[in-house]
Amino acid sequence: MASDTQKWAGSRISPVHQIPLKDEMNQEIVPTESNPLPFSARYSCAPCHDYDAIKRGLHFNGLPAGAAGRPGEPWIWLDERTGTQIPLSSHPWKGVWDPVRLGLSDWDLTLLFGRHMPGGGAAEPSDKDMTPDSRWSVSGRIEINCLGCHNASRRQNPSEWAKQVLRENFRWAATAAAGLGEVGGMASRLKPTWDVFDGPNPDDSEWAVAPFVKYDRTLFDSKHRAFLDIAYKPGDDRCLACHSTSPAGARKFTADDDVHAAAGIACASCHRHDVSHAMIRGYEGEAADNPALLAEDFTCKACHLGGVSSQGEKLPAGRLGAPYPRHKGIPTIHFDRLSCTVCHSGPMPARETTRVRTSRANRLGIFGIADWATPLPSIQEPVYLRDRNGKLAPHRMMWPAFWGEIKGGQVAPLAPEKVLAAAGDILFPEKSATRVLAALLNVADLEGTPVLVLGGTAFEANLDGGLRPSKYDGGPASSDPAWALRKEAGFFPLVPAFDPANAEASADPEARIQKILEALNAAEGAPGKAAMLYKGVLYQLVDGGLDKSEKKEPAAEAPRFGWLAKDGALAPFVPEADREAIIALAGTDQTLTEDQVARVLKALGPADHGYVSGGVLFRLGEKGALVAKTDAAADPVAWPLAHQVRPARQALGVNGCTDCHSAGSDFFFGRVKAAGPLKTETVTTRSAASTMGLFNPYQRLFGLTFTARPAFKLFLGFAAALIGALLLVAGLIALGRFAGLIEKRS
Amino acid sequence: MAFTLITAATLIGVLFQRTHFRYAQAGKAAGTAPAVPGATRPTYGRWLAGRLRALASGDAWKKIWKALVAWAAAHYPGWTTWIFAAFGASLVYLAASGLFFAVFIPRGMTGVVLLGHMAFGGLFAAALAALLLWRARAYAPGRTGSGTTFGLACPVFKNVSREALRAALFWAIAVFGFVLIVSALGSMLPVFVFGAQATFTAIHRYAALALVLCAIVFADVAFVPPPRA
Repeated sequence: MASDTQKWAGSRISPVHQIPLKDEMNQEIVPTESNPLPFSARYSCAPCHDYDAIKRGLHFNGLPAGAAGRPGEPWIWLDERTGTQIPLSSHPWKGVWDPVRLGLSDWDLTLLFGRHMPGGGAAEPSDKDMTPDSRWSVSGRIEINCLGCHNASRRQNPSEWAKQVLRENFRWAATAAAGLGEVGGMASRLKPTWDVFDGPNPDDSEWAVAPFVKYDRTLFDSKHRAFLDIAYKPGDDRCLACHSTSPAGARKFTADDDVHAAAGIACASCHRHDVSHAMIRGYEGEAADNPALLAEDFTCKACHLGGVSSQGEKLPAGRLGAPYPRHKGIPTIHFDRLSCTVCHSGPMPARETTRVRTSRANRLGIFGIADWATPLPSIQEPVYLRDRNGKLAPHRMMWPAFWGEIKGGQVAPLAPEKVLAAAGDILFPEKSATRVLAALLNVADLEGTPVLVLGGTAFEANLDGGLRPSKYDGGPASSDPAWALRKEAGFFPLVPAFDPANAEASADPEARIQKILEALNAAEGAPGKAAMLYKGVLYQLVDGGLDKSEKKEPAAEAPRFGWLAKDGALAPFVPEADREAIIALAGTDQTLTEDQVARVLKALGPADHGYVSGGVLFRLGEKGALVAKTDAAADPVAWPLAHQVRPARQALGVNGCTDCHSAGSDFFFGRVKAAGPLKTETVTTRSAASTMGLFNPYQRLFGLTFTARPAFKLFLGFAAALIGALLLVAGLIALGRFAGLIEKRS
Repeated sequence: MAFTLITAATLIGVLFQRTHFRYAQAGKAAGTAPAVPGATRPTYGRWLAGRLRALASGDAWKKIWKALVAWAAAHYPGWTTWIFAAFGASLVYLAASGLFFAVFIPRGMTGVVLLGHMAFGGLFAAALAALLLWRARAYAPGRTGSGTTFGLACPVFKNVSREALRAALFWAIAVFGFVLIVSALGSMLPVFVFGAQATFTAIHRYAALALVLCAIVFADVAFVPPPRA
């Protein structure tokens, strides 16, 4: 274990941290001063704690690559619009991409993942690592956020952290998240020449407001010392802010705690470290990866069974009250071939894997008006794979998805912005609809929410510029698509039915048509002039007034809106391709259709581009249709899971051998079906047995033998009893003859 | 590792003892017993090599098969031949598969071989029970033999009658077979904890080794006729 800079005298309590706060200039913070700087953990904590030693800790990416150990959860570069989900890690784990190889700088990584970063590492680059396109001089670096873990105050707010990071208020984020003060302004809106010593922006108090902090003075005493509620061992909430995993779609009150947490054991009780912050991950074999750790002392086996530590010391069983497992009736071969987590961790195996969301991948734990959590990427568990030691272990698995350039048979991911630039509006099918719906919101006296009725679903614009689908229950729409109004009483046509030839009766509807067309013509990015065709009459605005003209087209029984082209044709507001994409993706987590992929590939250049999703690589065939094939670039990334640990009574096998060994058990014959942003039936599907590297038919045969196993045991018992009885008789005869009680035969 | 070493040592020891004994008997029968013990090794080696070469020919195996069939017909008349066949076949499969995986495959037995091991295990249990029911009387304790004495490496029981040795081996095979069945059954019952399971596995392995060694000696004593002068 690395040497601790502080020698422990033996007291088990932690000191009260009533300490002077320092800023990044190592100057003491006086909260009553105007424009104080945010506090710096580096200088505030440094008098007692070795910041440089802490920097080498596991959470701060300080580990050398060789000590990366078994795979952990990668960062996932997610861009829903382009259907990109790329696993990233600087560690040499299978299936991950090195951010440097993809051209991602520390600045990019911090913007992408800073929301769940604890500071340090990529977020605190050295001067030489600062790339020209970055804005570190404006935002400041993100120092290690000691309070992110060690603040025991309930004011510690991960959502505030994420918000400040997204605003590029890097150096202010820790102060705001800890509740030490209120931080305002946005560094992201400032000019790149702004410097923290420039202070507030006197020219702009509304938009480009320089970040500032107003300290909570009640936390400071008269000597300007602040009270920090510091916990030596971080509480579980601090860990779970970044390490939560829950089944997608589950309800919160149904979720059980990990059995260890339920027993009162904190995360940090096992995942320990000294000041080096070289944290014990707790897997078997960790000591070989990092000999300085007391790693093997905190595996499942070490606490529950005892044994010999990595340092050669005897470990008694039952550490922290760990019950000794009896494992009645389980042949010992299971312990040679399975890790403890196979039976005890994660969800029980089912016919299909369980889809889960994790904090880091799906942006959980950030609360606000906007919906931060994302349904993608789709992560599945448990997938049983062989660990580095050859034992089976449950894993989480994610299938990468990205657009790629194919060179020499290798697929290299394209950055989402490159794809967006080439694809144009193809990847924004809802844009044509939201443009209209947003414009209709500006029409006075509509007395309802404008919706687009399409394929039996009503779509309305949401705050994020997307479409929110809901069931359309207004009876058969008069046309498809139809523009309608949702009111409390139900759905109503945008323009009520009327007779254009009847001047008196058509006055009110035509007034509404005029308002609608005015709003549509003013819509941002309107591709032309809005018009409406109804019963052979074309309505459009000419010189500010409503113009009616006869249109020699099949008379539309329902009002048909569209954009007038130069040739006089009426193009629908929502083109057919967009309509199909909207209908196909409504209510799903997917963001792309096969048609969109084909069109984007054409735009990118079909010869040397492809799209990876669901375990396959899609390319354009000779006839312009999508062709799918397997490719190494589409292989999934997986990392072992350890939590949630289930109690023994819920372990796999508690119902007997047939929990796994039967002709159709979920353990061996469940399916691992790839999932990705593309809505398609062409995905990779594997049986659980094949992911384990086992021969499926044999496992089925072996499972079948268990139907006869009770009879076999009875048979063996009967044979053993018979043989035992005969041996007993023979033994008694021999004894009798030896004692002369029975006459010897010649 | 310990089991591998013990298996190798005991198998080599027993095979050496039996072949050397045969070699000495052959010498006696031919009247060319070596006078100097130290001089036996090269001669024994050549003798053994000759025997192995003979075994490599198809004729040798035909002769062995014939002898086996004749012995089985003499000792297991009528339908009881099936008992001997079942016992012999299961013993050969179990010994071969069990020892091979125990010695050469650290992760243990698996796959179709394991299924076969279990199936033949059942057959072995049935055959052993039948063997004891129908053949035990031939080896009843206390019967004194009057046949040729057989040399053993053991200084205490250096010379025992062929019949007594065969009987002792028969009962040893029965006892070890019983232990094998009980240890296999025990590991299948949802009763015994991890420590007991591990003990069952160890007992099963060592009982199997002991049974195989006894079976080798039994086969040598029972089937192979003494050398002719």
